[in-house]
Amino acid sequence: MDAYIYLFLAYSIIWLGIFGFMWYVNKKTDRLEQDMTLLKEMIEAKK
Amino acid sequence: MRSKTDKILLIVLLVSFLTSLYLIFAWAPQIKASNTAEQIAQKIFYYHVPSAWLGFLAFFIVFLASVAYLWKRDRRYELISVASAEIGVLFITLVLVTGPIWAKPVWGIWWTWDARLTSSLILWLIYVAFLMLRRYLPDGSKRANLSAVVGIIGFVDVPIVYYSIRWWETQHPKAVMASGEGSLDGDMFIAFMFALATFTLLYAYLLKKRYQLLVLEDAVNKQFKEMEIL
Repeated sequence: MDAYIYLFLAYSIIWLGIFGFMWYVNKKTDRLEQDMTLLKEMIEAKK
Repeated sequence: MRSKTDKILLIVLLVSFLTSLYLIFAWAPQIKASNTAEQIAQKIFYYHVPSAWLGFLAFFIVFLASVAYLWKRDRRYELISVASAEIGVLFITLVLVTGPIWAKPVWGIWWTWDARLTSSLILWLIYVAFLMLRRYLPDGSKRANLSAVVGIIGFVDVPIVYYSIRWWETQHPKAVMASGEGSLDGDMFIAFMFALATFTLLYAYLLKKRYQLLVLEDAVNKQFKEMEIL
């Protein structure tokens, strides 16, 4: 029975790692989109 | 910023992972082992080994990109090496976590300082150092050169990790793939190869996304700098 807990733990951590990394990439994408909006506003203001 | 190709790739990835889970838990038979715990824990192998192989592949790409950067001085190679190093660290982290989870019910201990485990930990530390170096040094050619050198020297540990179970007496199981010392049952082999293909696809997807993001970040930062100068 204990072995099933270890198996569940291993697969949970793998999924957590993969989804965690995808979340990190998406978070960076969101921040970049904000930066791009800010950049556009700065360009518009300069005009 | 998600293209149609990305969406298709994501769907393919999701289907592949679900299929691989089916193959691992419903298709592949259990190994013949002396106790049930070992039979159940062996299922960890199907994701543990592909994670390790993809970690090695990621660091090999870091090595190639670092050599190409020092040779051509092209920023794109530098960004590829960073993207691949991040993903490599992710995969080796999964290896270092799932290994002890397998070891506890089988060996009765979480960790032992044998050659395979220690060299894997060193590999992880090298590439964490690579990423820390990039984070804490200011952007410029000095950072790019230093990280390229670490990316090249760090790769020396990959063959050491791979051959450690042959060169030294280790507690880690001997290789059952890519060696004549053991083999997998037909259905186990299919499940393993499918998991490996799925992880390879995941690596390709993550590398593409992370590289594209780094290129965009670079372009935005450059624009900001130009705006500040004006």
